[in-house]
Amino acid sequence: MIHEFWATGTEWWLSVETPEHARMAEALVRDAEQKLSRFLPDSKLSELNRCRVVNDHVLSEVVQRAFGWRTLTKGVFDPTLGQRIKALGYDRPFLSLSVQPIQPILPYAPASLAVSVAGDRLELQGEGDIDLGGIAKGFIVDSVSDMLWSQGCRRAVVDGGGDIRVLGGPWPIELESGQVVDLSDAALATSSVRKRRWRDALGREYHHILDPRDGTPTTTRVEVATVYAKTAMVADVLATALLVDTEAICRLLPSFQAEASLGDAEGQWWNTSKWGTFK
Amino acid sequence: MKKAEKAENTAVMIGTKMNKREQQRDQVTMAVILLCGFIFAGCQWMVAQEPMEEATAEHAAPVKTALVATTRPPASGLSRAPTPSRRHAIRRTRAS
Repeated sequence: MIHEFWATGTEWWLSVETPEHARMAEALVRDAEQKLSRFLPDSKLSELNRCRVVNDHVLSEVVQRAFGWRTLTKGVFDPTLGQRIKALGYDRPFLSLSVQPIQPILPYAPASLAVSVAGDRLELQGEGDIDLGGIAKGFIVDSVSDMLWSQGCRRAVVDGGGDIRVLGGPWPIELESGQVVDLSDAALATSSVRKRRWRDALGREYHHILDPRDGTPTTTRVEVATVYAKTAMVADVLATALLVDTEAICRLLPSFQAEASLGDAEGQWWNTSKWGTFK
Repeated sequence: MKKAEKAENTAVMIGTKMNKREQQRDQVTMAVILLCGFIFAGCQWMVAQEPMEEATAEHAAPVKTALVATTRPPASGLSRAPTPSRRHAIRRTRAS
């Protein structure tokens, strides 16, 4: 059966085996949103950024993974840019962002943010806020998929606004290039600088993928990155990081058995060597 | 005396006529010079167009080089994606 709903600022589409699967999946997504969203003032993440200390199992897990990815990618993926993205104007759900012009760009100082973890207790040290963009949605898609599997569901599609993980297969999934790939027990995630763009009060245009090295929207030749990986979180993080440093992250893909399809500014599409031969 | 005066008047008249003819001749000469000038300038302009076309052809090389440069993969290990296969898909991955 197909089940659709709106959460985490995007459309969710599920193909599952029973209505109970659908109900449990939606409940899980909504619960995760309450913890991981930076747009909900009462979310656990907002509480962490505001109070600098919070106790929550899910948030603790995602934050630890996000910092792990920061190390793995040598800072290309960086969850500490929360204040910077707000300063650039992306401080509210995107649907309402284009209505109001925002303030001009502020000087950038790299965040000196660290996190200490003790069980489910997180404590932030230093300046800056956590932003889980580029990892949270992938994490939620995986959580739903794992829950479905644990409930005996063996054929499913979990599509959280374009981040997709499938159980069983093959499921034909279309890419932004128009190419269709068959996906089995794996995930695809896409990041793009062509979406979520806005202008400041001076008319300068921004997008939501920041380069941690200078705090400005990335300017790589690659504008769209789709990553194939075994989990949606890996695909989500790598797709985002590819837009920051394409060369470095391409070298990292084999370590995660990941493949990528990239769209550049000239409208050309490029694939890694084993793209499409997914096993 | 009268003959002499008449002859003098005739000479003046001839002189005047000759002056007029010279003026007309000068005007015609000027017109011809101007016309030649225009034609010459026109030819120069037309000639100038041909080298420009050649120059464009010559400049095509850097443009081509630039095109070659942009067909370079954005990172090593990447190759051009094949033409999309048009077939049914259940979902579409996309940035949201």
